[in-house]
This record gives sequence, C-alpha cells and structure tokens, in this order.
Amino acid sequence: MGRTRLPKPNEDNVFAMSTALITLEASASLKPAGRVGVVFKALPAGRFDQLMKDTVDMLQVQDQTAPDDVLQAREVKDDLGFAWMVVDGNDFEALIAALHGVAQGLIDEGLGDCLLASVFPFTQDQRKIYWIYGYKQGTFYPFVPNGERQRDNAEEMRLAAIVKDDLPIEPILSSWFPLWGVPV
Amino acid sequence: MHRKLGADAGLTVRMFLALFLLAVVYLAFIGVLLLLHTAVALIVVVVAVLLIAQYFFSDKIVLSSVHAHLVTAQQQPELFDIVGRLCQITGMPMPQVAVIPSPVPNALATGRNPKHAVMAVTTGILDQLDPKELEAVLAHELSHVIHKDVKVMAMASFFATVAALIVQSGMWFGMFGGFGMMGGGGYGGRGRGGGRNEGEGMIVIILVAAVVWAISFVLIRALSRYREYAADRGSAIITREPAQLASALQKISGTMTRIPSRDLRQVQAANALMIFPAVHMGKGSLAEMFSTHPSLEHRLAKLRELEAQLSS
Repeated sequence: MGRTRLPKPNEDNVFAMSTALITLEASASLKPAGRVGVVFKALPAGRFDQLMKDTVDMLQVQDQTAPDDVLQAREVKDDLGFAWMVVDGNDFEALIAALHGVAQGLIDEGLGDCLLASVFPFTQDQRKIYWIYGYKQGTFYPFVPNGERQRDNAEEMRLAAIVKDDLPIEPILSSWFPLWGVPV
Repeated sequence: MHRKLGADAGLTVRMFLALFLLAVVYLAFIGVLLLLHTAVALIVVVVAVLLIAQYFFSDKIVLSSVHAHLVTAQQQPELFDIVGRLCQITGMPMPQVAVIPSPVPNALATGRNPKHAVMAVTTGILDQLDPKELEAVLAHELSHVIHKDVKVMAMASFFATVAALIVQSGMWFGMFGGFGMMGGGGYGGRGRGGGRNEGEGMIVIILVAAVVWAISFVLIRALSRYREYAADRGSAIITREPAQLASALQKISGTMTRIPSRDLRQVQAANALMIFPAVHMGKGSLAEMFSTHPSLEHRLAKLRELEAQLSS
C-alpha cells in the first residue's frame, strides 16, 4: 500500500541442493566441481574483507574438528567488478553449510540485500554446468553455458524437469539470468 | 529404457467434459429452435452448407490466407527429412509441406483428414530453431493431424457459428420494422395467434442464441486449449524429448518469457526494485479462460512433468 518493501532473502532453501545432488548425479550425470561461490553486491567498505576473515576463521575451526574435509575460502573479483567468495572443498554438504553460515551472518546483520546469488558448479562429462541460487526469490535455476554468450536452453529445461521435486525451481523463465564468465 | 507414456486420464476427461457440455448446450439450442421458429432452421441449413464447403476447402483457404506455398523435397530437403521421419514413426501418410514467408516463427497443420493434410512452417521458424527443436514442433503439428483436430474444432464451432449468425441477423431485422414482420406466416399466420407471438418468439430465440454463443465461446476455447496440451503430449510421445519442445516454445513465444541472456549482475539493480514478478497468466486466471492456447508457463510445466516421466 504505497510502501516499498524489498523481498526477504530466503537463505534456508540452499539446503535443498544436498537432496537434489543425488537425483542430479543419477539422472543427469552431474558431479560437483568441488567448490561453491557467492557473489555480493555493494557491501559496505571493508565489510567484504571482514567477511573473508571471519569465514576463514570459521573454516579453520571446522578444520580442526574434521581435518579430512578441508574447506578453503578465497576471494575473487570478476570482470564486472563484483566481489565473490569461493569456498573450495570436496564435502558437498559442508560447502552448503558454510555457504549458509556466511549468508545467515550477513542477514542477521541486516546486510541480506547484499547477497546476489550463490553458484554451484558441476561437471557433466566434458562441460561445466551451474546451478544458480537467487537469494531474493529463494529459488534455483540451471545455467548451461554453451560457447560465447550462448546457453543450452534445452538442457537447462531438462535439468529443471529432473529435479523439480527436489529443488524450488524459479518458475519465471525470464528470471533465469546467466552469469557469463562466472569465476567458480 | 523405453517406457510408454500412459494415457493422461485427467486431460481426456476434461476434453470429453468440454465436448459433452457443448453438446448439451447445442441440443438445448436445437430444441428451442424447433419449438419456436422453423424458419430459423433454414439459417441452420444454409450455415451447414457453408461450413461443409469450408471443411472441404479449409486447407486451401488457410494456406492462401497466410501466403504459404507448397515446396518439394528438392527445395527443402532437411524439412522433408524431418517430416518424413515423423511420418515413419507415427505411420502417417506424408502430408504436403508448405513454407510461409514470414519472420515470425510459427508452424501450422491443416487439412480435413490425414490424407489431405498440409504442414506449413514460416521462414522465421526455420531460421530460429535447431533441428531437434523444429522436429518437436512438427511432431506437435502432426499430432493435431492425428487427433483430427480440424474436424473436431469445426464440428464444435458449427452451432456456435449458427448462434452468432442468429443473434446478428436478429438484431439487424429488429432494426427494420419490428419483430412482427419476421417469419414465414406473416401477420396472424402460423397458427399461433398473430404477430405478437412471432415477435416474442424471435426475441426468445435471439436471447437463447446469445447465451448459447457466450457459453460455447468459453467451452470452445477450453476445448482448444486441451487439444493444444494433447498435441504437446503427442509431440513428447513421438520424439521422446519434451525438453526440445519446451525449448522451442520458449524461443518462439516472444522475448518476455524467454530464458534471458542478460547477465544477472547487470540486471541486479533493476531486480532490486521488482517486488512482485511480472504479471503472467496464473492457474485459472481470467485471461487464460478466454484464450485458445494455454499459457506458455503451463505448457512448459506440463512438458517438465512429461520429461520427468520419461527419464524415470
């Protein structure tokens, strides 16, 4: 009624990815690429550095409790000047948990609007495919780049169909925005 | 692993229900016609003749209206390849193939029965779709031929057309000297006691015709939508790749519903101001009730279900 209210970030839905992984591996031959990424927009000055430091500290604590599942956080700046945090590791569940922790921390601070998306990279035979999670809508959509600024829409539709019961899929196709040259 | 897609009971039930309701409406309409005014039955006969003529010439009429021209296998070898393969799979006779010179991607199938069918595609669709997507679209059109949709829709619209004509002619005659002049017997004739009854009879017929037309409008559109779903299903059964049809549909449906190529990071500023998604036709929305095709979003959702069935 005249008040502009931005949608609340929906960070909990990320956990759906761990159930979807089973279906994706079985029905689409997807294998996790061993990392996840979060892209931020317009964090306050110095906040990103603080975030990196906190995450590294948090992961080091986990490292001590489960030294086999090593997670490492690093920062990346992409071609468009956006800040990314990339967490490397082979434990898919742990990656998701770390992602959730980072997001939750920002949301608790009221900086939830700075979360743009999370990206889950997979390999499918020879090519890389991505599942993008939008924090505003709390939904996932697939992104299958296929050459220079081209997407394999048929494969994207197929993947969305395969996990439609496991993941909250973004229903509006025109919101399936790609991330060209995603550094994950 | 091959698995036959089971019949979609819900879709079949809905189609038969729409046809049944249409039949009920039309039978009531015939009853009223016979009861009140046999001269109107003359209109019905005339319309029937016209519609039968249309039925036999429908393919030529449709094709010339869109400036389609028939092509040979030499002129369009890949297109003929695809259509030929689809006919082999379905056991259908090879239809005639036509090309429509238009940049708008579209495909249509017409003809009163499979032996007299024509498949037409625009140059736009030949340009924009991959071979597999084109195959999925042509499989959809072939399904319309297999399901004899032209015949079904023609029959379904027959009485609606009659009703519409009656309403129109009733209004026209009504403007010129009143209803008392209508009909075969003239003033005082027809054994029912005179012009007043004639006039009232005519008004009743026009009102009934208007109601028939309104109800059949909605039902025919519902029927048309269900047959679109059925053709989508048919395409999935023939090609076993509903994802290709899904991809083709969103390519040819226009830019608003396409999977975008604009980068998320470039869009994010605009995204932040989007409080609600862009208005699109939801389940049971008023706009969808009046359209002949289901909304793209619904068709894609159905195709996703088919995809899931096929890969399990």
